[in-house]
Amino acid sequence: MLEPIIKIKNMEIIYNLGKENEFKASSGVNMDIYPNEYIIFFGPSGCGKSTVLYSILGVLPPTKGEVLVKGENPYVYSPEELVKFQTAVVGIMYQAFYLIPSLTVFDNVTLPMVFQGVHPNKRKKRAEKLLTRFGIKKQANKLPEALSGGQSQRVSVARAFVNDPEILLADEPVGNLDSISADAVMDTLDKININDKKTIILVTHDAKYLPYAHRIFYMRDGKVVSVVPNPEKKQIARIDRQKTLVTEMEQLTKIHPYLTPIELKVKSIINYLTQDLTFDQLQRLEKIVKIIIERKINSKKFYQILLQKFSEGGVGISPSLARVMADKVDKILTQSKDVRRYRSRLEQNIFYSQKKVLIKNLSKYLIEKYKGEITPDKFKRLEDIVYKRITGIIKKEEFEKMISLSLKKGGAGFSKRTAKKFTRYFEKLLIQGLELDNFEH
Amino acid sequence: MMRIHDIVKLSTRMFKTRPARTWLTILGIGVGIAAVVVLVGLGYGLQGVLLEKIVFGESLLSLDVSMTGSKIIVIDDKQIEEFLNIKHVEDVSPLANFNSLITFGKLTGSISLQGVNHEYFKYAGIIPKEGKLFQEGENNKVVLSSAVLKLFEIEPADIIGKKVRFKVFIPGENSEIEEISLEKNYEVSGIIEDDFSILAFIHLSELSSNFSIPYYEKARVKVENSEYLDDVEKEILDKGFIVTTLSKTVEQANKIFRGIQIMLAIFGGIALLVSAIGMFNTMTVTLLERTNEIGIMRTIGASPRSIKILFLSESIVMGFLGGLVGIGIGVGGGTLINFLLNMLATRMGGTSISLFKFPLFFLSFIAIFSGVMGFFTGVFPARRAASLNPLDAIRYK
Repeated sequence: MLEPIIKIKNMEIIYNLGKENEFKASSGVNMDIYPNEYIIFFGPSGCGKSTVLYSILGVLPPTKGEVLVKGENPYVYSPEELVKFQTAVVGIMYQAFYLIPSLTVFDNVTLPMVFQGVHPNKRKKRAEKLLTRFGIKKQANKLPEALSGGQSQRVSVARAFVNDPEILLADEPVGNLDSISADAVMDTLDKININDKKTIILVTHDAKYLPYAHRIFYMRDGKVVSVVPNPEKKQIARIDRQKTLVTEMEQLTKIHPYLTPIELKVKSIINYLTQDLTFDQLQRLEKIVKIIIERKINSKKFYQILLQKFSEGGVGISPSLARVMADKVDKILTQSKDVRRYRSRLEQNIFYSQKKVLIKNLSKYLIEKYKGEITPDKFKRLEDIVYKRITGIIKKEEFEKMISLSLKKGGAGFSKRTAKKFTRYFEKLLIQGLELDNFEH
Repeated sequence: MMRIHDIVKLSTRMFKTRPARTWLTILGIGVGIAAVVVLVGLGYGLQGVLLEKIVFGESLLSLDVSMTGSKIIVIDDKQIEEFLNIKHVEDVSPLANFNSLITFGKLTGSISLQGVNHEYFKYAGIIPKEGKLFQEGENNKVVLSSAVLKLFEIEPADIIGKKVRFKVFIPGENSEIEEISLEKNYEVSGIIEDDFSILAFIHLSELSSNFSIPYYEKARVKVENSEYLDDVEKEILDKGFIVTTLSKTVEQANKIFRGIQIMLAIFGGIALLVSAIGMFNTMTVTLLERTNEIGIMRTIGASPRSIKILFLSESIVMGFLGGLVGIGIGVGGGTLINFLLNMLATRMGGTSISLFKFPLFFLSFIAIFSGVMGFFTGVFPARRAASLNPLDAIRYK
């Protein structure tokens, strides 16, 4: 039977105990973490995830309960002994890197060994190996200020790893990095987990990185609210299937990481009531809508993917529904171009002779949704209201109100139902037509 | 345990990270130390100036015996024999003094001609300023005082090795004065420092071989050991002579100068205290500034003791360097002041002296002391640094 490398029992941590600003950072935390596991503590900031991390590191004694690392309670040691224990067992890296600015990269990496009085030759060997491995050998003699964020964090990994500890703690290690550097650091950690067989505990609030973990501890308000095994990874911890039934809840947690279990249950019901698609289908649908919005595929291709079986990478819906969806999306994307044209001219203060034509087009798109006769007066009013909305003179609610207002009172004289319909559709056009830099080719 | 090399490397980082502040702090300590060095150096120097003139080797062990002026108790050969018989007296060296005329080339002047044995120089602490004193058997040599040169208005080099002649006036029985020419040329072998008395020393036997010496002017009684000085002095006093001991004077002078040195050291000490407080302040600021860094180090494997060692060694390094800088400023400044004073003095016709003295043991004491002072100013900040909670430290802003 595999023994946990970290065992936390009923831990409670209160900051500033007995003072006015007393603050309970975590309570009733129980966890077993096994050797070679990749664990993520996940939750919004202030949820107590770093608190647990620091108590494992040995710098934050629990107010109540117990922390056992490798079966030993680090807090029974004297500060001197504790350091010895820590060095052999845990290494840490931080969001802000925390490199010593006055020391070169090489010296930063070897610093933990310096404190142990390791022979310089041995240090050099170890450091060179790590610097080469993490691709920062060229930076060895630079000061930290000369490094990019990604490089700094790799130095930090090397430093945490230099004493070859069994556990690597990472407190938001990629929180300050651009996505490319972040991915590089995350891959590095992954390799340390897989190749070097180290236990990794990562604290993050970014759901993007959850797939790296074997298990995710969802935290909220100082408590572990759920522990979710990652189905895509072979589990190390023994999962009691009866106890930990993997349900839609886990899937929803990934989509909406910051919601409470109750709110997730609500989401599940709402989905059932309003949508015929499953969450899996919805996620797939989201993916392809994203690429059509980015104009990476055309409407035909979009239709094909909608139609394709789910198992083959499609969304797997009926041809008729797919047709409707594809047409609707196509229409919105096409018509919203007029919104964009209008807005861009407006924003750049360019006098544009086609202005009236664009307003007319937009009004016509709305009329297409209406089955009935339109008098020229009514149309003129509609154009006026569309103009006011697109230039931002009126808000969404006023738009709806004015459309349903009688002609006499200065409105367009449509029914309330029609007004609602127009408003909903026009808002869709507006959002799609909004100028976003990287959308334009 | 950390290696010495690493400790030195880590605790001298402040020269790179905060060079201005570090050097200013060191300079601050340096100025304080310099004050101590200059003032104590001045104390040593003054003492030296005085003692150099009066203390010379065996002169400390000799008693200067002279007559009261009474014609009954005189220092003659018989009396010298008596002195020699006193317990613990090793030697007696008399000095005969006659008014004479000295002739150098065509110049003639009046002079006190003093006949002594060569040991007398040792016992009286007489040292040559130029040339050499005469030795035993050098009966044709003469030593002159610097006042003689002034009389003849010549430089030492112009007279050393040259010949002079003497005519001696000897007081007779009935206050008649007998004139005796010494029929010999004497070669000038050396000059002693004395600008006020016109003196010439020749070998005592040169006088006694020409005429009989009625009595001596004074005598130097050399005692075996300094502990017998008092006994011998008393015995000679009882015989009715005047006795002066150099060692007593020296002792007295030393006491006074020790007092002066202590006073000067106290003034310097105040300056030092101020700079030590300055350094303490710097170390405390450094502590605040490094709180984050301490936190980081503590979480990557630095024990409280390592942190303490780093802080202490940093303050020792600063203190020690402050000491070296202070010694540099102090010795340099003292020497400069001395140089300027001497320039002024020689221009105004005085002689040059060394007003400052920096004995090596004193300087090494200061160097070690400054390190120790650094250590003590670092103790408190180091202790606080070591006792910081790593987590609080790392979050400190």
